[in-house]
Amino acid sequence: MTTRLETFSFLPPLDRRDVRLQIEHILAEGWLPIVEYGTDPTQFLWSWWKLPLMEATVEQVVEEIDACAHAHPDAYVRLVGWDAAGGQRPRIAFVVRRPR
Amino acid sequence: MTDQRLFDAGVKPYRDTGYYDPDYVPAETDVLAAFRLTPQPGVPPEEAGAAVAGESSTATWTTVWSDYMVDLDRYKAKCYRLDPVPGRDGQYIAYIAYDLDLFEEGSIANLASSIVGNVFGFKALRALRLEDLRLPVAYLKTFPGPPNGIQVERDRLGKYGRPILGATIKPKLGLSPKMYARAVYECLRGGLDFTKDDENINSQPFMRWRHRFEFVAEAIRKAEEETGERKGHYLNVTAPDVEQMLERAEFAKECSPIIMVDFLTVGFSAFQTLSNWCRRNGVLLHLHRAMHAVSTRQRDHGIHWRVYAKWARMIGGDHVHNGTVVGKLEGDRNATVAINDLLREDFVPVDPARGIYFDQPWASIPAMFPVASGGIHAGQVPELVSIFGDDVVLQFGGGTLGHPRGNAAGATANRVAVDAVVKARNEGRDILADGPAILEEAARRSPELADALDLWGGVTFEEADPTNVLDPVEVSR
Repeated sequence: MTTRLETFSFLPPLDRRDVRLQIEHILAEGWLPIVEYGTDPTQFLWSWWKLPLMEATVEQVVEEIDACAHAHPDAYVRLVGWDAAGGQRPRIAFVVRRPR
Repeated sequence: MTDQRLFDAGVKPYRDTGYYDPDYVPAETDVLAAFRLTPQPGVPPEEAGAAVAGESSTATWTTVWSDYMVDLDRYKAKCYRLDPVPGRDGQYIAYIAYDLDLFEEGSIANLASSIVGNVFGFKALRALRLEDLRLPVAYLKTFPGPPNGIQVERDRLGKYGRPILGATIKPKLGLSPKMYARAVYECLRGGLDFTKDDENINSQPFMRWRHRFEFVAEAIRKAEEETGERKGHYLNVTAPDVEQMLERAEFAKECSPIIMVDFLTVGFSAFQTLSNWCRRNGVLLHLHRAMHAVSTRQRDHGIHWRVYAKWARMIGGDHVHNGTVVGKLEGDRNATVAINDLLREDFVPVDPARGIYFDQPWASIPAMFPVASGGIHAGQVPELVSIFGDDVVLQFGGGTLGHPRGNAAGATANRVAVDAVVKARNEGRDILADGPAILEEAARRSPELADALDLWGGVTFEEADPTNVLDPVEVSR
């Protein structure tokens, strides 16, 4: 089983700089970053790492992704950009780490 | 008064009987229509506008005694404004207001029979086109809207932050059910989210609907297992009668998360029945607009597509085709982009430069996906993403199935192109100026995309003499 992980999964795995640029985009759009993780990427609901990062800077989001991946080495880690003002929905979600 | 003349019988000009009223101020609850009016030579525009208002509301050609039994001033539609069209001698935009009580709640069939029912054949008119309708909030609240909407569809699919990708299976007609499902499977495993029946794939002798549905279900299941992503195929449930349409839908819900219907050829009431069914059953509904260009293409006569698009959102589909701008089918860029807004936004302001004649609030009716389909390919992804944004279904039919290494490679090429362009856009790059470079960069890691760009990179569709263009902007607001 698989191979594909939705948005950006047809590109080479994102490196740290790629992820950083996407975080900057999420914050610039005014979306809330949410870090989540799960061992089965086909599941509907993934577990949340802490709460949505409501006041976070780019650095802090990077740190939380690292901390989540460190705590859950067997899981996929996904970053979500939640748009509260523009329809109460995720405007982006993509995998930033795969299981080691 | 004599017995022969008990009331003021006879034929009167419509404009003298209250159907033309330039002093009328439309109410918030009125339905407003903008008609492109071309009177016959010698017919004054006020009379032509009043005639349209009259015949689409209370009037007939002569006075009748029972007019006196009715509060006609209330039920009369009023032509309250006439704007000459710049550069089009003898043509006017006629604005007509209709009282809310003229229409049955939640019925597009009734709205259409009223507003475009009789008037288009009027001898006094050389041509007539319904350009736009303002649906008041009070009336919109009687319509259910899309069964799911963009937000719920994305949550059902787990797909965020990029256009949804699809393809129509070709050839349109003739494939056996199992070979058809093979073509579906190849597209889905390669990376498409959806595949689609064509509008005229229903239940013909070469492929009966049940056989198609069964084999396609297997294709979806296998592609989902292999990719870990949600997949679907728009199973076309268009059928000879509504009973059979619903029978097919009942069967389809076990096969695919999404079904489709040709919403104009089945008729508004059948479409509304199916939309209700989808809402009750948690099924996504894709709309094909087969037959629309019969009435939408000519500039002077018919119904503008934006009106049908509003009706599609009111009754309720989750996707509807809305042109590509860059592909093989006609569609003015500004008008197409404005209609995307009508499908997706909560409020769309009046904007004559985009063919929007009225403010249109959507009163919490969910958003629906516009579908861009017809002659598009991976090389156009930068332009498509720039025009449509993320909330769109991009359908690459030939642009997937025509790939030199087959459907799966074609599907992969499209997904790679979309991922690369979305990523670059989010990074702040100018995807129009840098589009070719972004694609070439991605193609270095993707032989599938490289092949697609080699084959179609330069293909564009230009139209020498478009028939369906917007007016120059001098229309006063």
